[in-house]
Amino acid sequence: MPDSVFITLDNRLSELDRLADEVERFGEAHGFSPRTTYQIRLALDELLTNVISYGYHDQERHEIGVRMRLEDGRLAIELMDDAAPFNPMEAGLPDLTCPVENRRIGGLGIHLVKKVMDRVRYERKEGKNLLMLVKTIE
Amino acid sequence: MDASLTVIDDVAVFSFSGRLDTLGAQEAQGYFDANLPVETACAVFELSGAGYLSSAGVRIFLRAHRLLTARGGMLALCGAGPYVTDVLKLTGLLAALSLFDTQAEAMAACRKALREKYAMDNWDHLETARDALGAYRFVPGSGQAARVLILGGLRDVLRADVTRAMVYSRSFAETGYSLGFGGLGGSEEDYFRIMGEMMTIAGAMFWLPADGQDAADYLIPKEDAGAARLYTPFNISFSGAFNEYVMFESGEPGGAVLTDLVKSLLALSARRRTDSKGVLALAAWAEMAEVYGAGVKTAPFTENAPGDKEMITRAANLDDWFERDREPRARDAACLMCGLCASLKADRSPFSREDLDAAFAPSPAALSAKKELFLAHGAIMTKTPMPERMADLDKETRRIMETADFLDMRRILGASRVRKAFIGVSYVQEINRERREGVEETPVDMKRLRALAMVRYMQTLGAAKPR
Repeated sequence: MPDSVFITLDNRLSELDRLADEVERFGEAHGFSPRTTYQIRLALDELLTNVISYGYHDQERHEIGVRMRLEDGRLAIELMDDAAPFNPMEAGLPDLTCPVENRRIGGLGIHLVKKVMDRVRYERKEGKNLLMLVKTIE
Repeated sequence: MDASLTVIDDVAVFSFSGRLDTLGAQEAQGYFDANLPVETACAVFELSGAGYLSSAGVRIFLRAHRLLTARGGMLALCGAGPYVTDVLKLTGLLAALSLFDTQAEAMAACRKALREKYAMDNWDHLETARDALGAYRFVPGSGQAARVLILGGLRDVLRADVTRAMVYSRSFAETGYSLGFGGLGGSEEDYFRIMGEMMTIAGAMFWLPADGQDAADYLIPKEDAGAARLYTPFNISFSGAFNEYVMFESGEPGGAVLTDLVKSLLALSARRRTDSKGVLALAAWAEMAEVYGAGVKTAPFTENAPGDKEMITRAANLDDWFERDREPRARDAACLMCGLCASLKADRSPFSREDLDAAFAPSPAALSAKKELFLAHGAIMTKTPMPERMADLDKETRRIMETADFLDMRRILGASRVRKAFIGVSYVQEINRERREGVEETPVDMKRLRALAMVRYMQTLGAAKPR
């Protein structure tokens, strides 16, 4: 398997299963630990669920691009979509110190992404959202 | 995602398998909403078949947790694989949601929650009793057969005949509720020479180091209580799953004498409980009118033994060895206590002579008088309003430790007076004992005191003392 793959998805939640399969295959081919593969799946799942569920205000079909590139023991992931501008890094974080009964639901997904990725960067470029994630592969 | 439901003993057990991602979570939520019986307050989520969990799945756990908590029950998760557990950990919810390894443990927690809910809902209909001391209300507890473990023996301590070889190392998790002697420290030198009265209760450890300063201390390991270790030549421990809880209220404004209350509890147990064998393991949150305490001034190890080779409790040695209150140490205070008592009148006592000696080191006079034997240690805290209704001592104790200020810790003497108490009682069925033989000691310079021990201990553990 090459060190770089590009996958395109439709803006439907069911597409996330297909992406998960691709991540599994990529991880297996490059000897990622099952935990690492799980974490990559989780981060993509959280981010793309947000985009697909809340990013589009029309009923049209949209294309989302995912590129994974492995270089010097680091996995770089790029997510590109033409949804409404949204920087998940600026989204409110859950208050993890308050008791669970009172905690506001939401924001957990982004929190998880930050926990499992080493770096997350957002750019708005040529009318598109561009998210760049980096994860060191042990 | 596949879901199924089995209702066992009023507990709804949902099994979710497959992927709990956004779509899977929607399906799981739909299944839960459609199938949770309206009167059900406790549910188990069996997750052994769920290989994947995202924040969407976590959200349905949170929603179910809130719903069931509002109904006075609980949600218990079980069977989560390592990655699913990872996700729960990363969300910071592992401490708040109840996660168990096995379904049996999750079921046990739910049964306990239901029992407590029943007691709280039917408070006025619970069994009550009244005697010369005051009024009692009995809250049902665990059906587990109660066992007590005694490490070492009180007599070795009271003879100041403890050597390093006799000291046990135990984790907090192993001790549960316990009282005895011992210390904390990173190395043997830290604690051995300052071992004093010690008590563990509801995940906290209280200690009166015998370093001549007569100042007690306490420690609550922050996260992994299982990793915290204490060292003890004498320790009596039992589980926090009490067979019954007793809400006691004294008939006198000045409170009931603690020794009398112990006698009453033994008498009531003989009358009311067929499973009572005359030995009670006790823990309590008590409102005290007066607290009399005692503590050893010097660590009871061999080098310090009194010249007369007699017990340190002997009249000639008592004042040298013990700080013993003649006036109440505290008035109008809260006390968290842990104790063991035995009636020598019981004909089915699980105690052998050796057991009795290990736990109480009774004098021949006390034995022949067939008096009650009683040993209790306690943490004295600032007075805190006690709820009218309680059904779980462990939970309430953790709460008071967060709100009340810690004042002192020591052995609690029978002359102390109790106004009101919520007492966890276990009817002891079995006593296990371990004892190590002492060996000759070579003298070492006394140089390290408690401050050093605590600092090092807390560094090793990453433990925190609140406030």
